[in-house]
Amino acid sequence: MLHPGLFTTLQDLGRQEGRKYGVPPGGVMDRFAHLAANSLVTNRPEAATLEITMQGPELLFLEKAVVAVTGVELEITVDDRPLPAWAALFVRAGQVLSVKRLVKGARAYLAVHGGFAAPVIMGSRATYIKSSLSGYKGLGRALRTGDRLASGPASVSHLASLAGKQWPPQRPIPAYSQSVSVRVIGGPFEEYFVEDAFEAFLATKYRLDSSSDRMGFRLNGSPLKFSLPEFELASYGAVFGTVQVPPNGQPIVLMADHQVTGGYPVIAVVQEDDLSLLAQLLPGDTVRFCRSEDSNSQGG
Amino acid sequence: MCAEQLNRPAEPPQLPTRSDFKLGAMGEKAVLVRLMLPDGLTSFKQIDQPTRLHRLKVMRSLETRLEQSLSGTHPDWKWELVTSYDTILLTFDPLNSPVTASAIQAFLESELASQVVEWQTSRTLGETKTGRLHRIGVYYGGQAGPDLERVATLNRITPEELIELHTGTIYTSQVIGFAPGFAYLGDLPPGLVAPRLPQPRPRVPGGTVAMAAGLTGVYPFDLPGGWNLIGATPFTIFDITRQPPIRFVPGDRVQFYRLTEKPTDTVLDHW
Repeated sequence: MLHPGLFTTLQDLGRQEGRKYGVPPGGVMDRFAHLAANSLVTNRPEAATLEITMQGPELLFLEKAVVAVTGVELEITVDDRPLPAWAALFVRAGQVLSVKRLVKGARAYLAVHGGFAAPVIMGSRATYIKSSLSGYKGLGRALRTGDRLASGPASVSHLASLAGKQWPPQRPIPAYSQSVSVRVIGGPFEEYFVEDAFEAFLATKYRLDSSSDRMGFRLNGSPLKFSLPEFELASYGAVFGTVQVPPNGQPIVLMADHQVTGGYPVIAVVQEDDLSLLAQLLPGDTVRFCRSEDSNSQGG
Repeated sequence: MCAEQLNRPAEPPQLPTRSDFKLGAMGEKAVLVRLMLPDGLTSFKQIDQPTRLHRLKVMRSLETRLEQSLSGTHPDWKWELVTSYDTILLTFDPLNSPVTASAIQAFLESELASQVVEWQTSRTLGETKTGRLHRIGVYYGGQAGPDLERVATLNRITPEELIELHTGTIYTSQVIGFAPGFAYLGDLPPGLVAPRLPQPRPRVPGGTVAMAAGLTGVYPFDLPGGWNLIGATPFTIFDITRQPPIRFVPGDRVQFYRLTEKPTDTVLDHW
């Protein structure tokens, strides 16, 4: 690691069975981009990738490797030669791969064939910064200059034969944008809101606050109204995508590293497939919520 | 009305019926079971202590049933349960579970129906197992307990008396939440007042012992926190390499004792 970028962590699909101990699932913010990067280098979905935030890292390869970087309109170079994102790239020993500043989306994912090595804790290699758990060497921290990342064993004898693959068009890349619309399902605490609060929530264009991070996205818009002047909830189990509303009426979306329990009424929960769009927002970007049309949620 | 009924002390806790619960989807792969507030109440805070503990017992009883049922019939569903004072979240791995919210809802409906019948016919919530008793050494006051004196003054007692009250009570690990391994230990002796700080501290060091809102707890590691800080323990509260990684499993009991010297590594920490 010649330069770590702004905030680069090892992530995967997250932990299981940690909630009852207060440990959130964690893992990647943008699952689609992570899964695509792994798929391009023929990794299993649960292989660990590097989650790059806003400013890309610079990596010197000590051994040849096949890598793929996914994200929104990325600039990638290998020894200063521009190369495409969403493609499997062959990198020789001694070459330097660099991901430039991210301007159209917040996060990029770098996968290497074989997956990044790290201790498996609660079934995951995902870094959980807040509690300094898991991730690179189990240290629970972001990567730093001088860190040496290892990958798992290759599953093919000719690494170079994996290179060149582009992201297949049959599963299109999400409609990443700096002004997104994401689908939600109404939340389980409706009686704490005024009757038209959900409609007001859907009608509002929210702007992402700069204090947003892997734990939660704070949104700014016209405040939502409660049905009671004062109340307090006991904490309750929450999920990635839960939109809770604190007393100031400005929603907070719980993201990958959210606390296992929330404490404010939930107005809605973001649909799984649209979390990727949300995860790519940068401070100042906007989001609108719309009602989920998914008939599956009614079927069963 | 006869006087007998008017004078009866407190109403015995009610065994819940189906209408006391609400099920609500928490997105596509999770459902929240809520034990609704008693009629007329709007806030969790308004519930008296015995009722709050009774309601927690209801949730633990239901949790035990759900755990057994899920492990027995759906071992491959990749589920997790999060139990709190009046809710249980049943959630499934969003990527690897084929279930839908409505299938989860149907499962919970049927479990809840059977559970309610069982409560009503047995006239009890079932056995609560008594967990381990942990004895945890605390160095009270000083730099680690900047709020000790203020909380004592607020209760018109001396810091010494506050320490006696805090060490003289056996607490139960009620709920895990807020952060890995953070157990809500309760209840504080009745009447002991310790409101949350108006502005949380950005960083409370790991091992700090704190109290607020009728409860006490130990910060497992450095965290932001709004509770009153009264001391520190050198004992480990969360250790990811252990199974389970939390020291205070719900149902376990905890008693604090006073360390007279600053915590050192000579303290024997038998987890």
